[in-house]
Formats: sequence, structure tokens, C-alpha cells
Amino acid sequence: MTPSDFEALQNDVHAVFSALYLIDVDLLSAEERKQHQQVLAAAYLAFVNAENARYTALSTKAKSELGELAGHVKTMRTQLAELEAPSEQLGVLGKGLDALARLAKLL
Amino acid sequence: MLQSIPRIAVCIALVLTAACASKTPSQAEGLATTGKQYTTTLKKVNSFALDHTLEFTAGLLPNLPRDNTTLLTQTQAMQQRAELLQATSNYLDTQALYFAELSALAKGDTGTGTTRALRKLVEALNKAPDVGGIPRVSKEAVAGLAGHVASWKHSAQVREELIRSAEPVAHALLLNQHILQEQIQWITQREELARQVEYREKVLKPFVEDKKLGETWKNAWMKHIKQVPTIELLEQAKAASIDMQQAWVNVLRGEGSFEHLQGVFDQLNSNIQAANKREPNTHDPK
Repeated sequence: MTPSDFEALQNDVHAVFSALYLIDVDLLSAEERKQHQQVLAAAYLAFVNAENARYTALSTKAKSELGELAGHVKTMRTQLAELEAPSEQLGVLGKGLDALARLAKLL
Repeated sequence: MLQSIPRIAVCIALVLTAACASKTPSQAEGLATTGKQYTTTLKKVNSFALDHTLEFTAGLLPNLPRDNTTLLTQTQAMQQRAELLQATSNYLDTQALYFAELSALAKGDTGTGTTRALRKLVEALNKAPDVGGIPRVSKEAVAGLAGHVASWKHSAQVREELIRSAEPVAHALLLNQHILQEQIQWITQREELARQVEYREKVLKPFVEDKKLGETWKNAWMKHIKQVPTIELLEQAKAASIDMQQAWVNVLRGEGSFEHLQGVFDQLNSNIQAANKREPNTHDPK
């Protein structure tokens, strides 16, 4: 992973967090709201940790692991662009919960 | 006539000497005042960046899972952010001290205390603060700046000090610029999200739901149209920070006036105070 790859990853994390933040929870069911809370927490933590630990401050091991996770986040962002309904968006984002949580931990 | 020529020459020489001698202290005085204003302003933006992030996060927390792990991890991330910004604040204090000591030196305080203090401050400036996430700035960007020191415009002590500190100070100012840009990004990204939610909840929903639209709705709609004052303020800080880098080069060359910059920093400081007093956005996605 290069500095510009990391910048792209940061942009993707920001886009994923923004999509979650902007979901109108009034339109979600009780179960979906719970899922939304979980993914929102993971995405915000990944977003803040990425801001705190920019590329230069990361270990070599972290940099190589980030490469794999960056692919997952990019896929989520691409899939999101094709969806409008909040529950469909949450479906995509919910599947990425594990990747976002791992990312937050790694940074 | 022949006798009067040397007198005239002596008078001219005296006038020129006086002009040259007064140039350095008055400029150094300007540097000390402007340097203090500059570091004070950047410290205010630094503190504002932390408050803004905390405000946003505090608004978000009630919408996250209410368990111990969530609260702990989000709190730790914010503590780390606070530590980064404290390191930045300390670095800015070192810069303010440096400008004050340099000013004292230029005004004629050539005692060993001043020169020793300056040496230690430059050593401290050479060590970039531990700001983790904020990108390191290459020292190559300011290489060769010592060559800009205009020998004939500074006293021997000031000249020696400027040659030694030209690059470390310029590097510190450039690093400040990068830190500021990073902070601006933190603030603008959160501000934009909060703005979109505010529009949806306070403008769009009442409008399409055919509710009675009172003064609150009108003000919310007008607020959405106008440029966000916070962002405008940060753009001003960014421009002033770039001006400060140019001002440092002017100091080395023994040129320029600080009046313009002093006015800019005065205005910025009062704008920051006004921004701090403003009612914060709720940053609440619901």
C-alpha cells in the first residue's frame, strides 16, 4: 500500500461513514436500527482512527494488511452508489461490518 | 566648500547608518508581535478542531450501541486525538517563544541567556511534534533558505541566528500549514454531514409534510443557503498561515512590513471567538 492508496482508502471510509450517517433512521425497522447503530459505530471509529494514524505513522505489517481491507471498503462504496433505499444501503453496509471493525482496530 | 564636503558626507553616512540600524529592531518587533498573533491564532484553530470533533462525536454517541466496548473505543480514539492536538499546541508555544527571543536579540539583547535560549528553541523546533497521523513534511522543501539572509540588513548576532534558524523555522511554519489543512478537513467533512442532516430534518421534512412553516423553518432555510461561517473562517486561517511563511522569508531578506498580517490575525482571532460563541450544530443524525 502506497501513500496515495491510503488516501483512497481514507476517502472510501469517509464515503461509507457518510452514507451511514445520512441514512434516515425513521425509515428503518427496529431490527435495522440496531444493525445501523453497529455499523455506524465501526465506520466512525475507522474514520477517526484513519485521521489519527495517517500513512507515515503505520507499521509495515499494518500497511500490508490494509491492502486487503481497502478492497472490501472500495467494493462497499461502489455497491452503495447503485442503491437508494436506506434498507438496501444498510444491507450492503451491514455485510461490511467485519471489514470496518478490523480496519478500525488495525489503524 | 572643500571643508563642507566631508561634513555632508558624514551627515549622509550618519543618516544612512541610523536608517539601517533602525530597520532590524523595528522589523524584529513586528516579527515578535505577528509571530505571537500567528501562534495564538493557530492554537485557537487547534483547540477549535478538537472541540468541533468532540461536539460531533458526542452528538453521534447516543445513536451508537449502548455498551461498554463502544463507549470505551470511541473515548480512546478521542483521547488520542486530544493528545495529538496537545503536542501541536506545545510546538506552537515553542515557536512563539522563538519569535520573542529573536526579537529581543534584534533589539540589542545579545546576552548569553538570549543566545542560549534561541539555540535550545531551534533544537526543539527541529524535532517535529509527535502528531502521529499528521503527515511529516520533507525538510528538503525549505533547503537553501539560509542563503536568503541579507547580510547587510542585520546585525552580526541577528545574522548568525537567522542563518542557523532560517530552515528550521521555515520547516516548522510549513508543518503548521499541513496540520492546519488536516484540521480543516476534519472540520469541513463533519460540518458538511451535519449540514445535510439539518437540511433534511429542519427544512425538507417540514416542507414536504405540508406542515405550517414558521420563523424557525425560514431561518433554517436561509442558513442552508449561506456559506458555512466556520468553513469561511478556516479558509482565512489557511491564507494567513501562507502569508506568515512569506513574512518569514521577508524577515530573512530584511524586507517587508507586518502591518497587513497583524490586521489579518486580529480579525481572525475575533472571528474564532465569535465562532466559539455560536450555537453548535446538533450533529445528530436523527
